[in-house]
Amino acid sequence: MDTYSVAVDVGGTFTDVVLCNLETNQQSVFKTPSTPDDPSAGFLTGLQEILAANGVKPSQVKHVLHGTTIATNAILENKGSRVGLMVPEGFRYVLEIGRHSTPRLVNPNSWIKPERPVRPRDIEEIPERVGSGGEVLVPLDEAAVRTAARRFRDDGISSVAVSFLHSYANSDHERRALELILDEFPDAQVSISSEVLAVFREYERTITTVLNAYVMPRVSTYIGNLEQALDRLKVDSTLSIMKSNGGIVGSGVAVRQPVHTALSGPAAGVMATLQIAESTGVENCISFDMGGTSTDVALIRERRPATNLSGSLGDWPIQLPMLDIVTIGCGGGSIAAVSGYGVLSVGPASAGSVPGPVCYGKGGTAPTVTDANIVLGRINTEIAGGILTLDAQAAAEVIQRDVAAPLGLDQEAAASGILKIANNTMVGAIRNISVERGHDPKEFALVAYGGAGPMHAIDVAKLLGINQVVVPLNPGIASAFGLLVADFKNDYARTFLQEAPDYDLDGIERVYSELEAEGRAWLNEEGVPQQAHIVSRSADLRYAHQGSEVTVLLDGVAATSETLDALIQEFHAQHRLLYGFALDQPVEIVTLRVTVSGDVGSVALPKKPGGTDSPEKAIRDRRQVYFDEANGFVDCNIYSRDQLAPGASISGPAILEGMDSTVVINPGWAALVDDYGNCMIRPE
Amino acid sequence: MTRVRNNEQITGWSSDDAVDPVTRQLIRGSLRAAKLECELIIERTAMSAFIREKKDYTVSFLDAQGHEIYGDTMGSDIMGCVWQYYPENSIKQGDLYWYNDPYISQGSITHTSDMVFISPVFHEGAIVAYCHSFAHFWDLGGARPGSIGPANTEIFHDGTLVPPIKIIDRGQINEEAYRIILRNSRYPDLLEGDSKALMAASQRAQERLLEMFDRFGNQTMLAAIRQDQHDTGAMVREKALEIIPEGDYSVRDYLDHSGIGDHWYSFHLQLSRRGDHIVLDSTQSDDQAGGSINFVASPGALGAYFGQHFHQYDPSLLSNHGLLESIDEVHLRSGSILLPEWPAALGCRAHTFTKLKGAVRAVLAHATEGQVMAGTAVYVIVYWRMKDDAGQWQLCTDGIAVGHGARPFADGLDAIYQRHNENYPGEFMEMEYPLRMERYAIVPDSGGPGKYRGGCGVIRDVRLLADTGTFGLRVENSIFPTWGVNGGMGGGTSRVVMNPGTRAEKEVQAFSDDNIWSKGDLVRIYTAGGGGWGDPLEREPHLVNDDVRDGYVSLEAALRDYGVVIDPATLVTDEQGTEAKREDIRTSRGPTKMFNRFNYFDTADEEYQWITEHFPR
Repeated sequence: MDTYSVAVDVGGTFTDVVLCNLETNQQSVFKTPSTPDDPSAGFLTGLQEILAANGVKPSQVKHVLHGTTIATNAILENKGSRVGLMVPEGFRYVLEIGRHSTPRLVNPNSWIKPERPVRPRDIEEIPERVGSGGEVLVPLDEAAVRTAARRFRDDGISSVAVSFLHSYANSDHERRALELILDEFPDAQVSISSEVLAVFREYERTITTVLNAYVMPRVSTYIGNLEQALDRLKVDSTLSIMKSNGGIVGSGVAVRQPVHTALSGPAAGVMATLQIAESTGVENCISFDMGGTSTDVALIRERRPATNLSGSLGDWPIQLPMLDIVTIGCGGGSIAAVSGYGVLSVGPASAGSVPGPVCYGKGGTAPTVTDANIVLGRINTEIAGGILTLDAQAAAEVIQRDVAAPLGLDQEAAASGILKIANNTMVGAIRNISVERGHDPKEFALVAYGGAGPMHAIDVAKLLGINQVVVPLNPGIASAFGLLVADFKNDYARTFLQEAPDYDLDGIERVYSELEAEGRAWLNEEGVPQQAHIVSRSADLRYAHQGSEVTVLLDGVAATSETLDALIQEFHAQHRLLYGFALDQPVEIVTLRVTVSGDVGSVALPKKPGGTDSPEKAIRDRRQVYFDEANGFVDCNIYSRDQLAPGASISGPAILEGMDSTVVINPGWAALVDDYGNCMIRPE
Repeated sequence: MTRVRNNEQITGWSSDDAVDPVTRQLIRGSLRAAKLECELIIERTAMSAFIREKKDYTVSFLDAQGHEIYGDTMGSDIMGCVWQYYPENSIKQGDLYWYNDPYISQGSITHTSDMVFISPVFHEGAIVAYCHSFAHFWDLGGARPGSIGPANTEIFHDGTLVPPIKIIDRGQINEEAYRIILRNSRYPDLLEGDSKALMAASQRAQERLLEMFDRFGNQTMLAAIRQDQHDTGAMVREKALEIIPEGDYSVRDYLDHSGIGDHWYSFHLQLSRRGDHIVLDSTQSDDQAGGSINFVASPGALGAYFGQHFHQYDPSLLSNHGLLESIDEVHLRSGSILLPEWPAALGCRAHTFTKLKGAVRAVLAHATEGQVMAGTAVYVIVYWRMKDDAGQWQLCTDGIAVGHGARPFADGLDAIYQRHNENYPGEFMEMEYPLRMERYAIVPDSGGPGKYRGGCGVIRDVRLLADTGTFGLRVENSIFPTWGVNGGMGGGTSRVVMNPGTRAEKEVQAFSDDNIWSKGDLVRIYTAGGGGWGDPLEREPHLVNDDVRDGYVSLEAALRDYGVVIDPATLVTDEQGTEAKREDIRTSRGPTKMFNRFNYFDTADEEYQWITEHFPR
């Protein structure tokens, strides 16, 4: 009997499910509305429906893979649990003071400090102190830890975080505190900073640890419920979760380190992009995932996604290894507004999916990007196979009233202006992950997905000088597909400051070995066979006195003076690429990193079954569509994307309509359908 | 010195030149992105902790006239002094100009530590814009490590003066000049790293602007820039006329002393409106100080402070040259503390300009019945200097947070330095220097009581691990606290103590230098809080209770200042007791007045009289 993998990606509007036959690689997809109050409901509905529709028994499912926003939403919506925090004596206000700054570009006269996830009253100071070299200056006051643990227990605070100074250099006190807390309070869920993020800078490490504790009860309940439900359904499978680094981990790890899932969904999209790029022979690409409220972009160079260590979520820095995904508050539901002084802006306010754009007729009253698209004829008034009818007239009226009239523009110019401003914002974000990192976007292909990505991709590509756009066959379920292709992967890091020229080679090798042993132990725990283990080492370097590090891959495995020399040469080269100059000054090694991964048999992109022999037969309609290049509306063929066979070629202006998205092909551009059903779109 | 508003910004623009709103927004978005990108280069590549951890830097764009297109408008005339030495027609593509001279630049730069690097942008053969990067540098020589400092009395003590020079001539760096400047620093590696970062940022900014001129076209860019300056100018002017009633409004603020243990100083600010004519006058301020608190206030800077206040009413407009358009005339007196004469020391001018920015709000409090943010404490700098094992001086310039003023709609910010400047993590300080940070906490009761509480200051305990060292303290508000407004009360004062709680405990002059410490000594700094807004008896009792539970307000102060009765054991509020207590306080205290610091007062003269009686000079 064939076995299957099921991938479930829970997004803001839809829960997407992909079922993959592990023998034949045949894949089927299913979409069901998300259930924000209890995301597991949509998850289970989707799972059951797709199994039933394909006649697959629950016992045939070997892997369930999941992309979740549960941790992300708990943090963004301040819906985590009450947390108790232990810090060294003298540092009760470490979170309140933070880095004693306001964000850039805010007016300090009107800015209000966001409330911390834990208030000072729930922070206990523990007499103990470790120095910067890991030496114990004040021994841990074990009685104080016990007293604090009992106080948290008595106050009903079940999630406890511990963050002591310099714990990256010596984690003994944190580990001992963990034991003592569990001894006093066995039901507590404890997060210790040296396990969540063993790198220096106490505010950033503490807030990340606290956020881990803040979402842990919610995530563990959620995952626990899912596992029970899978058991009830007789699904004979483990549950794996996508992390922000683009790897998957078993649910046990996700429960212990839930803050690592903050970018779970977007990371899955990037992994899908990687697979799409491979199937199309593209080496370098930029993923462009435009949804209802936001857009995620990421850069993939030489088939390797860029990673970032200084990310943030909402108001908080999260310095964990994450894919370098930039999220901008601009999507199909973003609202266009004109200020009293005639400034037209688009987003970040969003109509979301409720009430949604005006054209959805669900009570939306403010003009959105989607409304502009429909006014310009780029979207059909009937979408999702005719299930949903859009009100183009209402969209036109509100754009006229709120944008065109106040600015003295005609309606089409106003609608087109909304799109241009939205696209300009996207371009800014893409420059941010390319040009600012020393890469020219012209050398990259743009891989567009998400509900709105394929509608905007060519306009965005033109602004960036990109001359290849790739749209996968099912742009609306790319993230779910990405779950299927990801490997097991975890990152381990420790700050270990080494100043030139006396690098402690033995010490470096020792730290690397320890991190590697930790990583391999985890891979074994996940059942990844030894021969499938992949271990990669890297290090964060900087010029002496600099404050930001550049992460460089270690050439060769062991730390020797030769490999370190190569590492340092590579650092100089990277610094020049990123910032335009390098210096003849001493280089410091700051943090050592090990990434372990295990390929458990990736799924490939399936080939597309045939369609009609001639593209003309796929034309389902003609209508007037507005293009800037044409300075107005032009008569345009509307193709049914499902019916386009591999090899079909379509010249713009044209619209390709699919079940879950619309591809807009501008005049002067042409699409070629490849064997996998991807549209490869280039200038003619 | 007088500046008269040049109305060109508002009148010189005609709607015939209007650029379509979509293109304008595209240009604004691209300017914002370019600024952020270039600032990131500085942050990631600079070497001194002041720039990279504390983030004291900025990038701005100017038009061909030197007027700001987009930036952190401080009213500086960045280009004026460059053109004195390098007429416009001598400036070439690939040039880079550099200066830090506060006197030659007439206050475009206000102390020597701030360096500016400028690149011209050429398009279609002509200069269309300039880009400049700016940051606070670590050490340029001068009297002590860190260059500027509390004990300096002449500009020569403040480190190397760089008059406007062409450091890069058509792509070729002037190695000789560069060598001289680097040679004069105690830490030439840091100076080289920082200046290279700034040069890279300025050049990247130039490339980005050039791309924008290519993308949108020369005429469209220039017209859009002009229109944005016009719109911002028209908006702040309109707001100024709407908010300020006819009449004269004056305030004074006080500075503890000038760093050399002399006496307090005071400056005066008067805002007058007659018809549609608005005048700002500071000529009745004290003469310049012997110490380092002198501030070369350009009339543009004063205009910018007002403009920034009005700008908050519509932040969608760009921060640009138009901000200077709200005031018609600005008068400053040469030789005063707000326009000192050469060669006065200027290093600690932050004391003066922070209070001056507050005074701008205080005059507007008169005009708006108190609808402004209360007084904010002066952010603190400490120069920790340690002799390392090799006998070399190490320097750690440590920025420390203070409490900010309460607003008509919210509490003041607790523990904020100023804007986006960041502190040094304790772990960073301990890794990098022979110092240990033993406490970093909130000072209870330092926020001025009010319906909205002033922000609290912080405690920072630092212990010396090296054998010997000295420290300099740039700490204001140890004598004169921040002011509360509209019934709100003044904030707590600052204080510095060595070895607190031991037999060696000793008070240290809060604004001083050359303090000696040795291995094992601990210095504790309490920074000042912000003023409160509104009558503290009107603060919701549950908010006072929250503040008590979280350690911002003590039980005693809750009772004394807010009239809120809280059970010390259970921390539950006694609501009836609170009502009765508040009634008592109301009766004994009498009505509140517009301002409070030491006492309630309504006018500057009323307070001046009280202060001269109680703090004789």
